[in-house]
Amino acid sequence: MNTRIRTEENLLARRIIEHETMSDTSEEIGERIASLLPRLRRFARSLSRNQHDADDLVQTAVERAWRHLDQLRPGAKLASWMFGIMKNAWLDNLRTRRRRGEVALPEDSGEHPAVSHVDTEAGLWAVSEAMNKLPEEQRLAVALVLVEGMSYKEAAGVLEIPMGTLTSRLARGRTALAAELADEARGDIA
Amino acid sequence: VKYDDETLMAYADGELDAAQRAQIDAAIAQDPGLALRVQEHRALRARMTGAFSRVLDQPVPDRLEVAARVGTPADAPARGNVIKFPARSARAPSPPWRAREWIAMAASLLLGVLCHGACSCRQTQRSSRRARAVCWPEASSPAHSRASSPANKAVKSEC
Repeated sequence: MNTRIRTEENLLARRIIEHETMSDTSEEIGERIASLLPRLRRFARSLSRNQHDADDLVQTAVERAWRHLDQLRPGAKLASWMFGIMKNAWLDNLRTRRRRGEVALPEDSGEHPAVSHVDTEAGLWAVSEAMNKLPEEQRLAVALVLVEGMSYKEAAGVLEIPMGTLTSRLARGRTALAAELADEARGDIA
Repeated sequence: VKYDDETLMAYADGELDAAQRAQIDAAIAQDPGLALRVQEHRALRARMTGAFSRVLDQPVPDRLEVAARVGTPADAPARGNVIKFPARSARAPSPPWRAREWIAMAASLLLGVLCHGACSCRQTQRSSRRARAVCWPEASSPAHSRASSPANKAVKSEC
């Protein structure tokens, strides 16, 4: 196990140096990844139920990106590539949790109260809870298009699915989300 | 013409080409129901974008900044060929102890015990002449302790 991790570290170091000679320096890549962090955090937050889990997901994705830097094709958009890595990391995470029998997070693991103002958090909380009820493939489509503002083409690329699949997932996700938020609004009034 | 939900959604998202857009523009002008459906798509989109946009304004945790710049430590030379790894999960755990580590551990433990012994000797004025000669030359006591003689070697080397 230790040997494997050490080997991975060595590989990482070598790839960074190799990549330097290929195109950008590792400093430039580091800066570009760092500049994506706010968006990566937002994407992760739209998939997770709280910011802490979201930030763990971002960290996993960033670490994976550095490990697999050699898979970034020349001319490929770094943002799309990073979002794709995060998508895979999130799905892996879900699978692991299911294998362990953790169907969902415990109820008390909601939003960290210290993050922001209570009134604005409430709006985020409702939307986040509604997102959490969507099937994962619909959640991904909604997150990329409605939250991240990606075009259908770019979102389909990140998710590695045809455009038609993306639009149908997006449409179903939207319908479910609208119904969930309407229910929640009615629940508030009642 | 009837428009399915996916088409209206794509219209609301600005994904249709000019010709399709013009068709739906015209249809909306004549059908308030159609206009309402498009409006609902736009409202949901605005709500989703608005709710999560505040994450962009939050400060990014340091651990993520470090992970993002993993190949570019601030104190590295310009070439950046020194790789700093993030402190937490990406770091490999230490390898298991081998003989060298165990010997080092045993040696420091022994040294600690011996130093303690030496201090006790000093307190009780029972330390040997050799130890006094090395460590406390001003002290002079005729008392001699055989038991502390291995300690004296260590104390001597330390002093």
